[in-house]
Amino acid sequence: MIGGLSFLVFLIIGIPIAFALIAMTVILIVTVSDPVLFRAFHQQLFGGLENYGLLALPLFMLVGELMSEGGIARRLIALARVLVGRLSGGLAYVNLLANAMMASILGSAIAQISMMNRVMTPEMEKAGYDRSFSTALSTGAGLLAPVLPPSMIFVVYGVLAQISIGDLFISGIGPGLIMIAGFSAIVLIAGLRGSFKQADAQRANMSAEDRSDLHALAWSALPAASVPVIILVSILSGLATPTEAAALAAIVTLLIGSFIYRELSFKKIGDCLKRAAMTSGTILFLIAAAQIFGFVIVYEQFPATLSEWITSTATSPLAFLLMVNVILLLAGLFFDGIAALIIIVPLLLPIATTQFGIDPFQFGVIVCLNLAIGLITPPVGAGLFVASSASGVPVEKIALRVLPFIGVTLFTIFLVALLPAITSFLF
Amino acid sequence: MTGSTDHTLSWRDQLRRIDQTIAGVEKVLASIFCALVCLLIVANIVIRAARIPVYWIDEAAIYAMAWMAFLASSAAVQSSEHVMIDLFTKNMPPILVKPLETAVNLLLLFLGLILIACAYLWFDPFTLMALNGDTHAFAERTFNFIYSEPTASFNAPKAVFWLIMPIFSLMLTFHVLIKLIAPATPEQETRK
Repeated sequence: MIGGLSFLVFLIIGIPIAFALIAMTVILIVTVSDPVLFRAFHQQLFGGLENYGLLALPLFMLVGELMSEGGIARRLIALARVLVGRLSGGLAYVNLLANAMMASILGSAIAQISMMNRVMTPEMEKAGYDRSFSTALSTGAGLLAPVLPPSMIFVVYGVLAQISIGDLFISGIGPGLIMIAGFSAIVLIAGLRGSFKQADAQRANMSAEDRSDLHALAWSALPAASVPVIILVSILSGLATPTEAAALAAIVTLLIGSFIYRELSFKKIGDCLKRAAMTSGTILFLIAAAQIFGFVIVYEQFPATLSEWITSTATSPLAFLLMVNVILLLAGLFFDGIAALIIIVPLLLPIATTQFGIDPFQFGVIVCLNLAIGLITPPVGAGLFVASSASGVPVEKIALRVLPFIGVTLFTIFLVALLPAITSFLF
Repeated sequence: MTGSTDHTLSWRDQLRRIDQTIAGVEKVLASIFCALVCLLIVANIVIRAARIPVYWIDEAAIYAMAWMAFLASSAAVQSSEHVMIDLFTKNMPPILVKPLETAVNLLLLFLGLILIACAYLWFDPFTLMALNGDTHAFAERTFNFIYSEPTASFNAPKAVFWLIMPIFSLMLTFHVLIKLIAPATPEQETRK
């Protein structure tokens, strides 16, 4: 009780979450007055990182940074434009396809929303699309990142749940495809309602010179397209672990960006390494702190109390999953996705698997998708703020226009809860 | 009077500069460890393809990642890059912002000191010195096996890799201390 209350106070006054977790553990050790626990403190903290799966985190972050700096993202978008740009509302589909391609490389929704809003939104606006629709599309489609492989949040869930990260990646493909179909339907409906008239007229007037520039850029994207292929094929075929696929992708991205596109200088590579180390370092520290937190929650018998309460309230796996959805959506509103995952999974997963017999892969997809929604909902949705600062569209306007995308994601979560086969049909 | 104020300011500026330099070094080292993780994993793929398994590579990569994480985390304290919930602090009346920031830093300082104490208890350097560095005798006397525990796949004492923990504790405490005694002015915060 003391631990839980102090944790809330620490969070409210603005202590970084990792340190709030550590502070809570210190309070508990002082309460039980066992100094031996202090001696083991650092060993536990360090031990929290001794996990092979976690190596994928800094490596995928590095891939994302190198892609962004190495001109790969820009070329992949040009490729998507040549592939589907001729349809009515073509650039909107391009945005979706490019988001799906980026999701197969980046794994981080925030990185993806930021990159797509910087690249796609101005491009769409220039081509006659409404700016707030373009921003909402670039932001909503960012929800593909947590579900299509590789996914950063899946890596953390896999480590916490002690299940195969590669298999978890495969579980995300079915729900990801459903989301792509749903997002395409949103674009189609917008087209049918006449939202793209001006854009279609401008596309028809595109000069031959512009078309040939676009084709040249798309051709130059072919080496860049090898990056998602390497990641997906090596993981799905079992040739490489997600960690190895990430390392390979980092090297390939580095080589393409430096020697083929010649956009990666030595200084830029150093900056990419620094940003990847800092971003992943703070997440890893949070994970290490969570290992100690695990000790606290077991000591304070949180899982037993929670399990008792949940099993007396929810009588079937579906009722439990619906309840979990509500808890997670609320948590996602206030917590950062990975932080919420670290706090919630050790509490809910044992109940899900032992009391209700829910498949940990199915549960993982549901949890991660729910928390991803939190990224684009107020008040703390980092994705909204990133999109707003990149596009200049006010947060509240984006929040309103991403609602259809949130609707599709919620529908996907509901389908996954109802039909577990969506996550297991590729095994 | 003015001279003394200037002198105080420049003294604080210098402290902040030292702090930034140390955080900069930590970031560079973290970047190097990040590159090392990548190279080790790629080396492992190549070596495995050549059918010469080297078992220690994965473990070494994990240790490199741990060093990267703790160095980055310490530097992130200096540049306030840690994940936190700022929903409440952002909407606080301006008059409360400064005192709350000081309270948070005091709490972090307290945590830093506890982490230093934990590292001291764990490494127990004076007992080890009193026993002339005899790690066997140290384990027998203290029931603390820090110096006798080897790594899983290569024959090195794990304590070498655990050294990052006292380094992290010290650096983290130093960064928080500087934040308390030489806080950045609003203009410097904006520039950052």
